[in-house]
Parts: sequence; structure tokens; C-alpha cells
Amino acid sequence: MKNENEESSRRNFLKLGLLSGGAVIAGASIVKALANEEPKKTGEMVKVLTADGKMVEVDSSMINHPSEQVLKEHAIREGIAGKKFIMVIDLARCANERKCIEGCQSMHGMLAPIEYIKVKRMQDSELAAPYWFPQTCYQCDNPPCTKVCPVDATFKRTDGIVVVDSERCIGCKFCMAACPYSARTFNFGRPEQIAFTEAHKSDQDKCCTSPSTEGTVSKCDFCPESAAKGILPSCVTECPNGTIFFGDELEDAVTNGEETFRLSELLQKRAGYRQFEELGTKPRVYYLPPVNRQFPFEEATEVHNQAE
Amino acid sequence: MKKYKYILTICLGVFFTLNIGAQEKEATMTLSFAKVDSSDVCNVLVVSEGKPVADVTVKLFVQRLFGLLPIGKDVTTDESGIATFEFPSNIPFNSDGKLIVLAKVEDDENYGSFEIKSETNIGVKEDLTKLEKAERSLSGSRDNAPIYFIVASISIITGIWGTLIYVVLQIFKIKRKKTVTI
Amino acid sequence: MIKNDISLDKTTFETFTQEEYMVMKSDLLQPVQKIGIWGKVWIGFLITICLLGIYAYYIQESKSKYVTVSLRDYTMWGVYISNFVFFVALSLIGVLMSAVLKLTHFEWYRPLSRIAEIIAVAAIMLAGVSIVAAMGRPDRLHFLVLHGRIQSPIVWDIIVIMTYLVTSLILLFIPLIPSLSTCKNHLNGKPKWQMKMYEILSFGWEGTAEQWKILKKSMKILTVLVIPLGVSIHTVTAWLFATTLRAEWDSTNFGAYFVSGAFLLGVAGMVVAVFVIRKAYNLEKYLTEMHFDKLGKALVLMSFIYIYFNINEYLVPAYKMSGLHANHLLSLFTGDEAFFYWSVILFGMVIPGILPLFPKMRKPLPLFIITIGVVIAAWFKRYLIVIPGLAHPYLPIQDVPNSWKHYSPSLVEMTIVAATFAAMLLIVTLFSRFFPIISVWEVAEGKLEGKDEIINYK
Repeated sequence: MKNENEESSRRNFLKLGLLSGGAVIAGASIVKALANEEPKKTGEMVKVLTADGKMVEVDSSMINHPSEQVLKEHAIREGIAGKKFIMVIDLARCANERKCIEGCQSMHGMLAPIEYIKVKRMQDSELAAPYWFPQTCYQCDNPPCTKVCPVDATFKRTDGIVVVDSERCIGCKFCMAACPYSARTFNFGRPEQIAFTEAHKSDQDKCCTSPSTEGTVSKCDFCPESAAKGILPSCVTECPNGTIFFGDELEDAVTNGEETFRLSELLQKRAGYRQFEELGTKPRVYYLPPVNRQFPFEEATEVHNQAE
Repeated sequence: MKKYKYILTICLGVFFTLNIGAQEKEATMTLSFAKVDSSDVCNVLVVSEGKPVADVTVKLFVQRLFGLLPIGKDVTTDESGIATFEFPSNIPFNSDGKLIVLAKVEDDENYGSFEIKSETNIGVKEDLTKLEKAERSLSGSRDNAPIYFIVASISIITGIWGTLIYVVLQIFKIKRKKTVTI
Repeated sequence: MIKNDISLDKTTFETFTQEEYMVMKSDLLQPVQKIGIWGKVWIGFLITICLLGIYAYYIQESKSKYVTVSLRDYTMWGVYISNFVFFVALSLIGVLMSAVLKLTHFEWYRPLSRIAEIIAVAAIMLAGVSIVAAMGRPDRLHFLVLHGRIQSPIVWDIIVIMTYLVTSLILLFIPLIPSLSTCKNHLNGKPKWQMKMYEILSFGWEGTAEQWKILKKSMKILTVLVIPLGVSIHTVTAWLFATTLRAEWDSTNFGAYFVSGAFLLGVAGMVVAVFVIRKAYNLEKYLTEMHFDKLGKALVLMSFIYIYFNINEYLVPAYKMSGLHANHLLSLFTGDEAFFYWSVILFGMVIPGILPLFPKMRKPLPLFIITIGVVIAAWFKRYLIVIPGLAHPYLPIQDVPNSWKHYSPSLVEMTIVAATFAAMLLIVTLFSRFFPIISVWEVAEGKLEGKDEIINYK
């Protein structure tokens, strides 16, 4: 008799315990759900260019990139005060996803095949391992391009950025001939591009120092207007592997949006180097060699810029 | 009777949990900096309801333009509720001469997530010499051409065009030398 | 009586009579006096091509350049730039044929100097046109003055070219003054405005001793000045390439290499011009076989100098075959450009260096054929310097549309290039129809060498 009673009370106890446990869990999750912060809707609608070139309107809380009024505060020849932008690209992480290219194209309103950032397949020698090589304009500290411009249309600012003033450029393309990295591109007035620029005149390339116009040169400019506000360029944020790190050299910190490192430590530890250092151009983009790759190298499976 | 007991237990359990959740224990942190053996440390004291809290994982960051620079690894508070971080003494300041330091606790089981911001003077001044100066160079703007360049160009151009103008004036002399006027 | 061999012997001259002088004058004024049907057809033909060129430029500027012009991001300089280099090279003909020969007392320059000067002036003007055609924003041409940077090689090039153009114009004009007076006095049946023009431009020339003195002195100053100026324009043009970091242009040799090529082109251009002018204007008595003989020898000399510079420019890097130059050199020697490259070497340097060593080859017609080859080869040589230099950048060209990988000039570009040639020929032709193409007094002076005074017949 006593055994039965004991057993049933044990069973009861167990059941009680399980139920209480379940109740606590249920309660805790309710509390958590209520306590979690939600992004507040600002109610302000902003036009945004999606990655495939469509114009949509979203609430401004949904986008990282600010709307029109916060950009273009600086005169083009004036550098962002007290900052010197620098970029570090981790070749161990680049997998030719090309999201950086697409993000940049959509942010600047450029259509393929125009690419301010290019991803190239490099292989230094036959036995060496191939790697994917994202390449922007390096905003060199000893720029071979600004030397040769006849009308002072391209120049180096205090914030380290080499800018093209498309209002001044006469289209002689000497700077393009002088750049050993082929970083610059010329707006030949490709019909699709012109049509696109016309259609998106009102929300044109807002984060660029000087939007590309027909007959002038343009290139990557490290998106300084958004950088000044602490917003990373889209090539940095779009990369799924966090390959590109961006920062202010004076702050000694670079970030890819998720991980932040001290610039000096990163370059020392990972043996950062610059492309064609021997040319003396002093680029502002450092590369981290593709050692200890996060994933093996894969050849490209498709050709992207076929259309003329 | 038994069924009633179950229902009561469940209700009590939910009520109890809700109470706890709604009144999740609050904890706060305070940051302080000290020097230990000539290196800087940052001590984070986690306090809840007046009492220091142990076994809470704290992360320390310095606020930078584009993100948070992590300082050291995660540190768990000891019995006196203090997490000690070795703070590097050579981080460049912001333009106002200070660093904004952030201590964060993320998803602690008892206390949830919370953070605190503070400032410190430990660091180094930004090396403003790195900023591009508008000095005279071949790469410089129009107004910043090297002096020797400007002098040499103007001398050569003046010399040659001076000669040309002189020659042209000589030609006009031919006209003046004519004896027959029409 | 003019001795038949007088033009071959520069030290003994006979005095000649007024009759002979009048014959000479009427011979040399003949092209100005009368223009035949073929002359008109030729001018009409040139004007047509020029108009086509203007139309092509209009199309280029009004439609998208991406469609009308084959330039792309990697080969952003094309035939306009190589054409520009060609014309700058051609404009050194004034330096060589007019100035250098004069100062070194090679008297056979005398009938050639005005031809050389007008070709130089025309060529340098068309070089400027070619470069403006290449600009992306020609409406901003004035920025070069308003915002010009003295550190830029393009600004140096503009300054030197402007200076050379002015100097050549003055150098064309000064020796023309006595000829203008001759025109004024001896032409008949010409429209009033033309005679008025001669009147004004001759600056009251009477041939007095004082006036001659001024004329001679001014010519001397400019003749000396134009030589370093001419060498400068082509050196600075070479620096448009040599001041970049591109491997193909990163050569210390470039300035001298370009100038030596220009001298070769100058001699070749002179032969072509002399052959055509003497045939068209019946000036065989003044542009004699002696001139072809001498020009042939000059051609050999210039070819060998140019071969020397080419060896330094191509064979020495080929010995090293540095990784930086390998792509470019191999594409020239055995790759895509091999046919052009070796043809250019053969027709542009080897043949003009070897064949005119034989006296038979220095006769007018053979020499003319050789030099036509040289001129064409010279144009392609400049093409081979500019375009392959752009097609092999340090970082590989990958994943681009087909038109970006290989440059071949579009119809619009070739039309404009053809129009620049037509315009140059038009300027020279029109000049020769209004002013005597051979300087009457300089030839007479040469014939009278040994006498103190110049006989000036009105």
C-alpha cells in the first residue's frame, strides 16, 4: 500500500516538475519576445536602388544607406577633415562572389560592364596558387594619374582620396594611360548607360564625389560622403565573406562591417602588402596574402560581361 | 483534485516566470582605469541591486568611426564582480583627444544584454602628419607646382617668345624702311 | 645662258641675264598664275574628303562615342593619338630641310625650304586637330588655358606646339616677303583681292640693302631657334608616353627615338612632295635629279640612324625579355602584330636604308616609290607604338566584352584620319596656288653666289 502511494506521489512529483519546467520556459520566452527591441519605423519613405537595378521605396529604417539630405556636404576639393581612409583586402576570403561589384554598380548607378571594383583571377606563377583579386582604385599616395592631368580635374585630397571632378575633366584620358593598375574607366556614352542615368537623374549616385558624365573619366572613390558619416561603402558591406576592410588610418582601425581590427596589428600579423610596391605609387589599399584560406579556390563558372 | 493541482501548478509556474522575466534582474556596470605594473588596465565592475555579480562575460570595445574595435578577449567577472582587461596604451584618440570605451554584456542568462559607455584619456594623439599636406609637388594641384618648375618654364617661354616678338617687330621695320610711299 | 649643270655645282655660278631671271620667275609663278583642270579636280577631291571628315566628327560628337568610336577602357587612345604623333613627326620636316640644311650650308636646300615650311605648318595644325578630335569634352578646350597645370606633359606639348607653329609661320612668311613683291609685280589677270593681299603682306618690300639686312638677320635668328623647338615638340610628344609607368613606354630612349623617326619621315615626305610638285607644276628645272640624289642619300642616313634607335628600343629589351616587357615584345615579334611590325621594319627602315645606296634607286621615280612606302610604314609604326602599348596592361584584362579586348579603328575614326591628311594636302596645295612654292629669290641668290649683291628686278 505504502509503495503504491510512494510511487504515485513520485510520479505526481515528476509530472509537476515537467509541467513547471514547461511553464517557466513558456513564460521566459514570452518575456523575451516582449522585451526584444524592434527597429522603430520612422515613417519616412526613401527611394532605394536594389542590387538588380530596380527602384523601390522602403522605410528609411530599413536601409543602411542614408537618404538624400545627409550626403554631399563637402565641396569636391575639400577632404573630409581629420580622416585618411584606407582599405585592406583579405585575399584568403575572396571567393569571386562579385557582390562587391554589384553593390558598387547599384550604388553608383553604373551598369555592367563598367566596374569601379574589379575581381580578377591572378596566378603569380605556374606552381603558385591562383587567387581571386578584388581591385579598386588604390587612391595612391604618390599618384601617377594626378601628375599628368592637364586641367587639375583629378587631384589628391587631404583625406587620402584621389577624386575626379567631372565638371572639370576634358576627357583626354591621359590619367587612364598613366595608371598602372588600369583602375580608371571612361564614360564613352554607352547608350544603355546614358538611358539609365537619365531615368534615374533625381536619385543619381549620391555617395560619389562626382557622378560620371559622358566624356569624362570616373573611378572608385572610397565613397567618402557616406564614409564621413560612419557608413561603410557598399563593396565592404555586400561581401558575404567580409573580404574588404575599410577604415580611417588615423584611427588605426579597419572593419568589414562585422569584425574590426587594429590596422597596424592586422598588417603586421597577416603580412599585408601593396600591389606593385616597386612602382612607387604608394597605394592606400593593402592586401593580406591568401594563406590559410577559409575555403579552397574555385574557378569561375560563368562569364559576366559579354554584352557590349 | 489531482487535475486541479496540475492546473494550479502550471498557473503558478507561468506567473512566477513572468514575474521573474518582467522584473529581470537589472545589473549595471562601471568602468574604471588603473595602472598595474606600468601597463594600463580597464576594470569593469558589474553590480546588481547593490551587490557585485560574478560569472558574467564582459566584452570591451573602443568606438571607432565604422565600428567597435574589440579590446582583448571576453573576460568573466570574478567573485568581486570585476572583469579586468589589459588596455593598450597606443590607440589613437578621436579628434577631441579622447577615446570612447564601451563595455558590453551580451545575452547573459540572468541579466540579459546591457552596456555602458565611458571615456578615457589613455591613448595617443592622432598622427596628423599622415594627412596629405598641400605642398608643392609634381602631383600637386595647379597652384602647387614646384617653384623650380615655374621658374624654369616661365624663363624658357619668355626667352623664346621674346625672340619671336623681336623678330616680328623687325619685320615691321621693313615696312617703315620703305622709301616709296603709295 | 644658264649652264645645264649649274645646279650640280654649288661653287661656280654664272651671272645670268634679266631674260633668264624673267624665265625663272615666270616658271616659278606659273602655278600661281594658272590653274588647270586637274588642279581644280584635285582641290575638289580634297575638299570633299575634308567635308566627309567634318561630317564624321559631327556624327562622333552627336551620337554616343561608344558606338561611333572603337575606343574602350583599355585601349582608350587610338588612331587619333597615333595620327597626332605622325603629324608632329612630319612637322619636323621644316627643321630638317629648311633649317638644318641652311645652317650647314647644303645649298641644295634652296628650292626645298618653302615646301618644307608649308608642310611643317600644315602638319602641326592638323596634329592639333587630331588631338582635339580625341578629346572627350572638346567644349572644354579653354580649360587648358584657364585651369592648365604646368606639371602636365600635355600642357608642355601645347606650349611647345603653339610656339613651333608661330615660329614656323613666321619662318614661312619672312622669306616669302620678297616673293610676294614679285607676285605683286609680275602676276596678271588675278582678282583684285589677291593683288591687294600681296600688297599688304609684302610689307612695302623694295629690296633695299637695309631691308635685306633686316630680312636676313630675322631669318637667321629664327632658323637657329626653330631647330631646338622642332626637336622639343617631338621630344615632348614622346614624353606623353614616356612619363607613364606602362612597361611598353617606360623607356629612356623614347625622346631620341621619336626625333630620329621624325627626321626619317621628313626626308621621305620631302621626296614625295618634291616628286609630285615637280610633275604637277613642271618645275623639273628647279627640283632636279640632283635633289633626288641628295635626298636619297639623306634617306639612307636617316634610315640607319632610325634602325639604330630601333635596335636599342626593341632588341635590347628582347635580349632580357623581362616579365614586364615580354607580352608586348612577343606580340610584336611573333604575335598578333607581327605582320604589321615586320612590314613596317622592312618598308620603313630596311628598304630605304639599303636600296638608295644604288644610284639607280636615287632617280626620281624609284625613290618616290620607296618613300611612299616609308610614309605609310611610318604611320603604322606610330600605331604600333600607341595601341599595343595599351593592350598589355600590368593587370590582366579579364571578363570584358569582345570590343574591349581588341582595338580596330571604326569607320568614323578612319574618316577623320583621312580628312586630316586631306586637309594637310589641301593647305599645301592652296598655298602653292597663291604663293610661289619655290622661293624665287633664294634660288636666284644661290645661283648668284659669289656676287655681293642680289639683282632685284621689278
